[in-house]
Amino acid sequence: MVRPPQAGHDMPAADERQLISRARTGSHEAFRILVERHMKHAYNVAFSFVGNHDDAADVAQDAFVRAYGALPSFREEAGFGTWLHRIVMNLAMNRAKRNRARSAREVDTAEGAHAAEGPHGDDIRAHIERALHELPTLQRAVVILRTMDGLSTRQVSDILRCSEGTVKTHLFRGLKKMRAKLEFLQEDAR
Amino acid sequence: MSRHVRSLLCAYAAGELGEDDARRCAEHCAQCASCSGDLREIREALEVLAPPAVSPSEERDEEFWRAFAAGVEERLPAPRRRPIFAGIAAGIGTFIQANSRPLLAGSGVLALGALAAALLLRPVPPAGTITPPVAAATDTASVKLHDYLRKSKVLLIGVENARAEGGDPVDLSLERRQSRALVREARFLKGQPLDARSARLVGELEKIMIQLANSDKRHDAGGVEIVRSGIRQNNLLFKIRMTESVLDAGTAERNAP
Repeated sequence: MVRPPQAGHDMPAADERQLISRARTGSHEAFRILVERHMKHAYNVAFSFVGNHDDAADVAQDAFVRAYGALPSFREEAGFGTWLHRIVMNLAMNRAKRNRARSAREVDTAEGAHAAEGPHGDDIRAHIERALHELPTLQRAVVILRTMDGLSTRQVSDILRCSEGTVKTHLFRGLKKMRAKLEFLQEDAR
Repeated sequence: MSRHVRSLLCAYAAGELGEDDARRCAEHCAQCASCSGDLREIREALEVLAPPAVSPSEERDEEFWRAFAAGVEERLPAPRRRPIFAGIAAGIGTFIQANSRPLLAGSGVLALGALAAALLLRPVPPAGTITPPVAAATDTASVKLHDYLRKSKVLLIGVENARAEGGDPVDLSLERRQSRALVREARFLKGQPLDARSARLVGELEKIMIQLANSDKRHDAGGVEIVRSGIRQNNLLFKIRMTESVLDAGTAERNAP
């Protein structure tokens, strides 16, 4: 399970605050340290939304570049990791949406070809991704962040800027929908 | 029957509840068909959505992470530098404030004005002039050349050493992106006053970076091989090291007391 670095998601540690402040004044060196601390987590988060290494690397790099540009507006109410997580998630969701729109025709064709064989191996991952992308945006984000990224309800509520109650409700509804959409996978496995 | 426990079911299914809440859920679900049905569905969904045993980042090696961090740094905007005019104006302002006597202040203004004029009117070498490495080491182009050579060297070594594992195609997507950035840097450097050796090397590197940038995504093993043989045939890594040594020697000579 992908676990976020603790320093990143709690309030920023003193040395992290110092790095952020140096990076704000233009220190690439300080920002590089922040990148090295958070890059693997950012990559995993991006991957959980986009589902492939190329896009995950692109999205995670873009997120850092944007974060650097937006540092003056970072108010440190949440940790740097939480703030970065939000940027990664937004970029990754946009990328996933674009990818889906581009490859919709290919997916339909592939599905037709696999229908007779039943879902196996990588197909299962594709079905899960497809089902996830059919969820409403907030539900999708909550389901991915809670179940695939392993974040706590509080962390997800910080990232999505909503109450913990809202996170719980969306998770409940999202999981029920996912189960309905993927019921055939369970039946196939039995 | 106790109150429904829907808001707790997800945490209960994931084993995240405290002892009291977990017992309350278990007791309620034992007698409520609706909540126990929801619990079963949530457990099934969680089973399907279980995160992978190995996180995606663990599938990447250290070289990838070094290149990742370097790639981010490369894309950051350069730190903003204070314009020379602003510095001069600020200097004049400070001087006037610090010197209340008008005559002294006036002479100070003149002196600072003369300094500004000297800076602005200093001779600039014409475009295309070949500057020796020692002199080149003093200007921005030399710093950029140093940086360009370092990044090119890392990238080419990475391409040379990238090997497919377990029958998968070599994934050089990151290297391709970096090569595109290096093509841009090479074009900038070609407009700068470089010594002949450096100018030639930048030209050769630009060609190989263009080849790498244009090789098809992921599956083009042939394209990658052409790039590798280009690196070897042109002896690029050796030439980079030689040019770096010459530049370093120039810098050391300049900095010697």
